[in-house]
Amino acid sequence: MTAGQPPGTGAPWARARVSVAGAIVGVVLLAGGAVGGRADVAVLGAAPLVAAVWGFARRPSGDALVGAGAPSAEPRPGALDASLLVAGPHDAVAAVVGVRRGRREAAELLVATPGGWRELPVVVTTVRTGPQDIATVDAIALGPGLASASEPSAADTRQTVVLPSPRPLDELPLPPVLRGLTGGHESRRPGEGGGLRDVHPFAPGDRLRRIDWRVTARRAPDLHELYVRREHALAEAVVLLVVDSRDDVGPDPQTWRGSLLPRSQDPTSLDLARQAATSVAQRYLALGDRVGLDDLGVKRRPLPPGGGRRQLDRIRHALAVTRPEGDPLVRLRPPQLPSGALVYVFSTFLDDESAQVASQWRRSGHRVVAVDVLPTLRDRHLDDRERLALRLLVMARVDRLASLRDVDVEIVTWRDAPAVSLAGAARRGQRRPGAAS
Amino acid sequence: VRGLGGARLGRGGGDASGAARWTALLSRARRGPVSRVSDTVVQVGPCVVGWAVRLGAAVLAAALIATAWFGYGRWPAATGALVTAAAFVLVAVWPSLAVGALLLVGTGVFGAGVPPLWLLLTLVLLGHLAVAVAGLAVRVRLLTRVEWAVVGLLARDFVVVQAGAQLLALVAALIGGMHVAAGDAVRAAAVVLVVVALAVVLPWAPTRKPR
Repeated sequence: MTAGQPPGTGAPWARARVSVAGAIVGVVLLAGGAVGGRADVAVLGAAPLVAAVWGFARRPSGDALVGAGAPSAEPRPGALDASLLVAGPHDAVAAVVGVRRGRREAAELLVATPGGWRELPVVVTTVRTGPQDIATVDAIALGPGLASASEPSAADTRQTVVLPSPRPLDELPLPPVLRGLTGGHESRRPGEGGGLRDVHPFAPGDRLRRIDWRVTARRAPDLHELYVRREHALAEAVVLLVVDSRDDVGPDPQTWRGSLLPRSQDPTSLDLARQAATSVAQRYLALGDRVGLDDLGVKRRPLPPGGGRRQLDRIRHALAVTRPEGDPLVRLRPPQLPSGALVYVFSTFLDDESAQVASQWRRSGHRVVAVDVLPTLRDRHLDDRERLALRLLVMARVDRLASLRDVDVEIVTWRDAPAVSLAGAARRGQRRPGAAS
Repeated sequence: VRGLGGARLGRGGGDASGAARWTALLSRARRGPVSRVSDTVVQVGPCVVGWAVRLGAAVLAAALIATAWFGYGRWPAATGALVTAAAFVLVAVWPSLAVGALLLVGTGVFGAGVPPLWLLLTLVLLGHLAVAVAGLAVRVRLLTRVEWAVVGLLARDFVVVQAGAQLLALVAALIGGMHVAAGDAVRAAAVVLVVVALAVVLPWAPTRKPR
């Protein structure tokens, strides 16, 4: 709540113009009736005069205070629940409350303030994620009979961070090289936990419980040699999610210039990128893999690969606060990656930089999945000039994505059926020599 | 993207040329006013919309003038209709002009002579009502939602003052030597009783202290 002069102190509120005018007309009619000896004329002005004077006599003093309360629960995409607080002097009877979201007016209300206080629940429906304005609220409190009004209160804005919600995914591609001796995937190295690798003569270091007595009985009935079953080792994948936060564009190209804001029911490219990255991270972490996060748009220390539930929370929070910051960053070289990591690049690919970075990673041996997070565009309302510009832009983007395919970068379009595309990429990877080794 | 009139979000939006600004303005004009968003719902009690309040003020001001004009029955009806319509339009646009309508009626009554009792009581009621509703109408815009609770609180103050005004009008009629028929007396008593009953029934301002 914004600070202000405490209720009950300071000068009384300003008189309302209509009440002042009513009082003047009342005085005129009273005077006219008295001068002309016409009680019927005088009585016409009595009621407005008495009402105005009564209202002026009860003028409150002090400031009106407003505030936007914090959301009642962890904000999720869909609906944000919060509350607006309006407080004034004890004898204020009503308040005109203005509510705005961003640069748009959301509501104006004239509400009763019993006891000078009112709490108004507010529900904001939005599919957007990341930093969100719940509401900007200001108010003018009104005195008894609406005969007086306070100064407009200072506007109060409340922001919240909406965490992205994951979307269920099934099969996901794996990197060409798995790491470690634990995890959810079977590697080609000998070890424990995986499927049968081979049967091998017993050697120093082999455990006795590994001896396969059936094979031993078949191959060496006199037990001159023992045979053990050897298994594949388990391993984990290292996945790096790279989000291109330089763009936050909605489905309406007219909002790309920034003078108009995307509608709250339209997810932007960054909303889709947040959701896509969260979904992929959740699936890999559930499989026991290690997932890290980097941002192409800012020079910031990347979130190093890690595993577990807390890593998912860290990734979701890092994604939620990711947004376009200042001028776009020009990178001289792509961010460094752990060796053998699988790279996901979440971008709109509206310019060359993200595509170049993805190509360089692919050329250096990483498996790269490019996730196209540009929303489905609406162009029916565009004029010819804008439609032509959009067409040129889309053509360049299509060429860019085609060149990525040429260098063996796998493309997944998030707005279509990403689970199917990712499962297809996973199956293609299994056929590749050396995959899931 | 720059062909669409500027830079994308996060790439600096300050290089919009004059042509781009014109394009933005024209686009906005084509779409119409986008000043309101429907994604924010503030939960309040039962409401009446602001234009209805403004319409109410205009109707009351017009009724005040029409009652005074046709109540005397001396002036041409066509002119009365014209004046009434003008009052309706003017108050609908500028609600504070309802006070001017009261002044106009007071001046007319002064020039036309002592009105019958029923007309005086009606003018006292309509004049006060028009000014009170105009006081509410100037506070709200066309799409402002006005809680009925606010109207109820104002109505309580209104009937308290109006009860006194009706009694005063009755006394003024008696003092002024106005001819009061038996039916008029019954009607006046009924009006006063209704106003007093409303003052009792309508909600009083709660005295809960702020937290």
